Amino acid sequence: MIRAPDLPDADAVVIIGAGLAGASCARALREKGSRASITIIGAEPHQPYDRPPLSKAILLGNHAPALTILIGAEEAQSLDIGMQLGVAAVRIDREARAVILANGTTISYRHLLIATGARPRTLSILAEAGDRVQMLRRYEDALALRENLRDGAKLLIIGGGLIGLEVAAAAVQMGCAVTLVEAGDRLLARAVPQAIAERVLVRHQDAGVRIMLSTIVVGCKPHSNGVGISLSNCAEERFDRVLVAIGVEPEIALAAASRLPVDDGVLTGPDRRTDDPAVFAAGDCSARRGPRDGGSPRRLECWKAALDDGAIVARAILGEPLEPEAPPWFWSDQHDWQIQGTGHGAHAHTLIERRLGDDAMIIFGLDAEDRLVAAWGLGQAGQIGREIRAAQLLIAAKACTNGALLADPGVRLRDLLRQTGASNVTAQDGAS
Amino acid sequence: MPNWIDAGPKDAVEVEDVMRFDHEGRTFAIYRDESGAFFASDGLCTHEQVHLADGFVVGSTIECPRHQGRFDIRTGKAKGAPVCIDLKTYPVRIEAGRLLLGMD
Repeated sequence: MIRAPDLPDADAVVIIGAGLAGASCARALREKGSRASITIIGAEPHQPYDRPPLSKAILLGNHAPALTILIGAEEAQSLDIGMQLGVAAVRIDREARAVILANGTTISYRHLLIATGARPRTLSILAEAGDRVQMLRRYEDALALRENLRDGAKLLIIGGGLIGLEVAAAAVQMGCAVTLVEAGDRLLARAVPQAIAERVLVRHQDAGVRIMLSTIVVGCKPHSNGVGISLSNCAEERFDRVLVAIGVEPEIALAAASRLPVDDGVLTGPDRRTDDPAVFAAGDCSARRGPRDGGSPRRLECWKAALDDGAIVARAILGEPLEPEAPPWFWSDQHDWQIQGTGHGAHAHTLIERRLGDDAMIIFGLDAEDRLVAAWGLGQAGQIGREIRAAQLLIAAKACTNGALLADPGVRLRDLLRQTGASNVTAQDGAS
Repeated sequence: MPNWIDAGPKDAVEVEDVMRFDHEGRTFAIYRDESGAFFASDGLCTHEQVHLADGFVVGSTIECPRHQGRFDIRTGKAKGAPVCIDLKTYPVRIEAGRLLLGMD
């Protein structure tokens, strides 16, 4: 089918953002049989690509690094998904239902998806540090990091969250001397309970990463042979490279300029629709409004949320009913082990530990009514993956559980699932 | 004509579950979907080579434990990111309560 480019399409879908959420939405629309015109606008000069390998495989790979493409040029053509790549959207005109690009092009929409992602937060104290200091978000950042991390290179990582720790693991494997500093009194303050954070710290130290908690950068001075960093607890030290990994901020400028409500993210309801019924937001840039009786908006930063959001938007665009949402789920690959988590840890009232031997463990979070609301695992994928997945389904079923059963490694969660009749809760397929 | 190999008693695999089977240096996963039917595939996920016997079966889908990549047990078809390469499948027969795996 040849689509004449100038004919207005009554159902045109425009997606700002060529990341996972945008690509997932486009793909889901086609898989559901939509023939509407779809245009993805991406500021980066690449086909939509996947970010997880940037902090892992791209750094570690022996062969020439390559993008993990989500929708390649050929596939985009066969799926009839239009791509405007390497050009930024500069304005959304919600009255005219049009997106204006930096090159002056105007693209009309019937449905608009804002999937602009997030950008790394910066440290103002490093503003004059020069190009030995970098962040990690785009493919080019990963290439630059890989280029500069050689045997013996001294790397400072600022930030003890998932990205900082993944890079620490990769860099140590590449033979670098890695120091990681974290302002808080433990690693992974947002992602996992303390008991897991403590074990993660030990595992990284055992692998040779030097970790300093409750430590911040207090000074910075570029030199010809490195960058001098003064930390709050020790004298100036010279590093070859500094990675700032202190989190991200949602890219909300376009939405805010078009007067869509924003908070820590573009605000949406459960169907990812903003206050403008023609406009959706998904992925790292978006935040779900809290419940009416309070509770702040919730923004997730994980891969699965972006994948699922894209499919949720596709369903909403096609007028399909809202389905129950799967509990959030994330993973992090570090060294040869993993962390996984599911649910909403903030709702957990009681934590129950299940030891899996070999220092591997699962921690379950129950709310005040003994309902499972969260679970986290540390260990090999083969040890924790299945249990976290079963926990995810138990959480979705709002199952009440017995702490003793959860703690017992002899009890299989899939059996608990069967007892609650919850095993027929459908997995949140990206597009089924 | 496949080479039928005894892979143990059929009751070793529960409904909606998966079992590892190794034979002559190769590793497989033997599944039972929600209907109780048996299927088999190469044992390692096509994404990052994690063993699918540690994975989670929901209905007729196997999920890799590492990144929840999903495959259709019956056909080996990869059902979307992060997995995109299909699993190789093998026929399974039941004879006298034993599982027989049809290797090439």
